[in-house]
Amino acid sequence: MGKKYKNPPVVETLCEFNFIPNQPWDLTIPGLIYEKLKDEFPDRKQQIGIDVEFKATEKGLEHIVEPALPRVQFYNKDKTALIQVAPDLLAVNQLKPYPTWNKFKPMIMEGFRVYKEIVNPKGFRRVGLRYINIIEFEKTDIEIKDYFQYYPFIPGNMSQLHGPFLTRVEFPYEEGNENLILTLSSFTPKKPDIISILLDIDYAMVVPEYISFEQISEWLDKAHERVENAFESSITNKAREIFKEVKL
Amino acid sequence: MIQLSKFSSSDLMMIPPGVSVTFENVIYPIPGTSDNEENSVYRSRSNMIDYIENIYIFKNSKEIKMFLISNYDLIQILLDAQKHIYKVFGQVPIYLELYHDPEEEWDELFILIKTQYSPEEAVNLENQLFEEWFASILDKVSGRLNFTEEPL
Repeated sequence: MGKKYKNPPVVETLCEFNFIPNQPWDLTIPGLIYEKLKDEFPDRKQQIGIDVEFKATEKGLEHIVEPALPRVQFYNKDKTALIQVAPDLLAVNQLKPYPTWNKFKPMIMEGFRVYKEIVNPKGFRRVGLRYINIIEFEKTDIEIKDYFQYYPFIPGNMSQLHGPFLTRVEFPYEEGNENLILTLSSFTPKKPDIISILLDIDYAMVVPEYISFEQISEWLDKAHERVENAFESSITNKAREIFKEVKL
Repeated sequence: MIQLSKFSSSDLMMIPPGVSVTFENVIYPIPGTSDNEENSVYRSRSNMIDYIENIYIFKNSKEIKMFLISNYDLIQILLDAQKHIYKVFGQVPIYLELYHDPEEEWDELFILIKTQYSPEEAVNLENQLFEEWFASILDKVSGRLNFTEEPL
């Protein structure tokens, strides 16, 4: 069991399922899924999305913006969680406040159960469990390594003072059938004079059909444990002080 | 050590002005494309804001991004605006600038349409754009978004 925090930095957790279809996508599917989920997720929305096409013309390269493939979102009453459905995609998102794994996992399982029952896909193409953390510092500069164990290494003969950054590492698991992507980067803050840092941890099964539908519950627990380990390994005790660890 | 910068993290991935854009050097994540689907509500908003910066030239990038984070509903309007502007003015450079009045604590995002039209022609085209597009979204943007023509 992982540590608990009074002010956890997690702003969003999501479970993404990409499926191998059994049959062509039917536009009535989102409506059928909504019927099953509307008690818990009554607020139906079409996500703002865009597709971009580049086209060579006499004037040069022009880009054409078109509406994206249909993606429907079902929000719960207080807008803290949603289920997204698009062709061969199901995503279950939990926004702030994160209610603990014991409550988030059943929501994922219920979304998956409904999708599987209605769409009857062939198998998983990819499954990912992702935790997005934003850590805000009301300071004009910070020493990253005071708060993170994972950070960009700046060679000694270069300026140690730097601006925006992005570090991303993929760690293979299960002989490359799964991976964990750890991303640490600066992030546009909501207000001035704040440094925002994003820690995005994404554990995924990346080889199609490496796990079956029957194994999903067990897989989710494993993924959650690995994400949690990656989080705890990436931060320092000074960061834990900000998050205010709750001693159990 | 990291320090506050006038640039934002996405600037690291921006295509510099004057660089020829081909599929190969678009390293910037484009939201909504099939190979790069962003399912996070939080990060897709951020990506959309970054994408807007490919369409408009941001005069005060960090301030504009912070404003759009708090006024996310303007994103779709800004995406739609491009086609209306091009239809009326042709393919002209379009800028975004955030005007801030500290006394009134008031922020308004301006679309600056840079053209070489005479003042008279420019006013006529501004009126046309207002009638064909802006009038229909006026109630939605409620004093947060405006546009004006400026000489190039």
